[in-house]
Amino acid sequence: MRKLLWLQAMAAALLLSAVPVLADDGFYVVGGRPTPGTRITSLPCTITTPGYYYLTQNFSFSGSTAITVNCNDVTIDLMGFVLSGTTAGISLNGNNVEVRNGTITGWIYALFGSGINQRAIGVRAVGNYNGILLGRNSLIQGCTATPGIDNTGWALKVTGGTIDGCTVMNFAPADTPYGVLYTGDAGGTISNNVVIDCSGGEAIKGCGPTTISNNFVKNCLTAISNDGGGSIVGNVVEANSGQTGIAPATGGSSPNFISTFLDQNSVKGAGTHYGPGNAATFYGLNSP
Amino acid sequence: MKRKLLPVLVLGLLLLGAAAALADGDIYSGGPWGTKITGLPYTISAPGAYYLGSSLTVAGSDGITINADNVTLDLMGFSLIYGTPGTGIHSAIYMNGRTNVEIRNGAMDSWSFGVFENGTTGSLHRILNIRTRNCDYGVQLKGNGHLIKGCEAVGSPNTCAFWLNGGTGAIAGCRAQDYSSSGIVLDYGGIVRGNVVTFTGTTPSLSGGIRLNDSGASNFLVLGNEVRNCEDGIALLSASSILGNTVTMGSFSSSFGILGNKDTATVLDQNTVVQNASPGSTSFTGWIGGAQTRTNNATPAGRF
Repeated sequence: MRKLLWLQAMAAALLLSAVPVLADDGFYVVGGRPTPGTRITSLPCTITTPGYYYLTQNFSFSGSTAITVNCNDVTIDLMGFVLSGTTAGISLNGNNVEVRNGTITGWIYALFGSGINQRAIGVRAVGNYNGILLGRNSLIQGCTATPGIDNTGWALKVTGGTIDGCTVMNFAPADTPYGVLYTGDAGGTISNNVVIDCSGGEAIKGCGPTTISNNFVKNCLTAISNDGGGSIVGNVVEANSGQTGIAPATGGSSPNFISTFLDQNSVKGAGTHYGPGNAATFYGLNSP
Repeated sequence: MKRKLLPVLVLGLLLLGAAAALADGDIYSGGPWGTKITGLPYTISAPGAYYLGSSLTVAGSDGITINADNVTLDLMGFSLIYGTPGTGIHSAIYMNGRTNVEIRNGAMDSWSFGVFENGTTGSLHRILNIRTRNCDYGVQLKGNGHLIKGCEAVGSPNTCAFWLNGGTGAIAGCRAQDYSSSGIVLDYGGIVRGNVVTFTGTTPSLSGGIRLNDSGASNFLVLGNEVRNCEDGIALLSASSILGNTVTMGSFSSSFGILGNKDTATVLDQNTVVQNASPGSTSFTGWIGGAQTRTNNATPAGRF
């Protein structure tokens, strides 16, 4: 009897050691059921209790908002599925809410947040009027965005925070001076992103003091601008005729100009490579 | 007996759940949920989530054909294996003009192509944590806006590990080993960041560890990569920012650490070229190319 119990205990320990399997790059796989948390089985769904929620199927929803989060401390895992509809895909009204790992398509707002410390990780917001718009001190990482019914909405926006490792195509925000990838007046970082063919709009824009680094921007009306100043480092830009590559801040007045440092950037194409800046625009090593 | 077994099983399940809750990373795959692929060849024709439950083998055809947009395919750590290597031209995963397909977390062995997007209208694919072995092309994607991240391709040797063919995108955190044409190729601009490209054979790589082609007004960011023992470490035929890379040159003749061409808009900074062996000819050099802006780079001949 005891031997049998020990065997069972060892089997449980082996199960524990095998789950989750940690692979490269922060990538986890849980190899069996039950999946912890709460399964979302129908829409609309309103979450009012902190915890972990997940999809196990595609959903198509024609009402106003498919998933609403009205509390703090929530994780929603789309589990690779597709959430499609018309008005608002996911609305976040809480703080410390993360949405990850799936496709949101067809909405006026794919993912909209009004709280703070929100995270969108690996969310593919394709074919929406507005992509992912999160609150203050938020993170958008490893996401994609393309426009839907027309291309004049926002792609990715945080009100202070980080936009990292994302890919965006074909947006052209009508609501200037806002950008395709945009940090609000609280500033933040915009790094490692690919922005392509936003030929009617400003691609990467820091409204507050923002670090804009290691991005690739191609064929956009204004590739990079920073009204709030900050560092613009290691970006590569293709600016065609009539377009501007990098437009550093021009604001402020002596002795309090808004300052920008440009270094290791490369701009190519028939457009204007660099905007005029101001007396507090400093240049390191950049292509002509 | 049954009463005593029950608590142990309950404990196991609780531990299982607790362990899963600890997971935190870029992607959390909590399945298996979605559609299980149980045999090859298999065609995906609807959006959604798909996964493997075991390694699968096929001969004489593609493995998985994806004929829908908005698809997530999780290999769950398993492998797609071509059963008769060297016969026919087939892909482990084949697409033609699809949008938003994510393929992740598994291996592919002995195919012509590991992952192949064959349509120029293809866009926004994400290839994450895929390992290919003995595939002529590890991952080749036509179209725009693709991401290849955290992948590994090992050839024997084969042609090219990672190629954004005729389009744009990013290749980050990948490892390419023993590809005789090039390890990483981009054609129309993009980001090459944090990759390792190595060649362990003695036959020279023909084009470069990392090759950036000049296809129109292309511009590239090449940041923080390591290239070792390729004929040309980084071959750039267009404008670029080449920043913080390390190139270790091998013993091939006519090798160059960083090979530039005609463009005037190249920025080189914080790169190091290391000469690892006696040169096969007098052509060894750290940098060769046209006009460029450069500072704080190191070569065997000194700083340039």
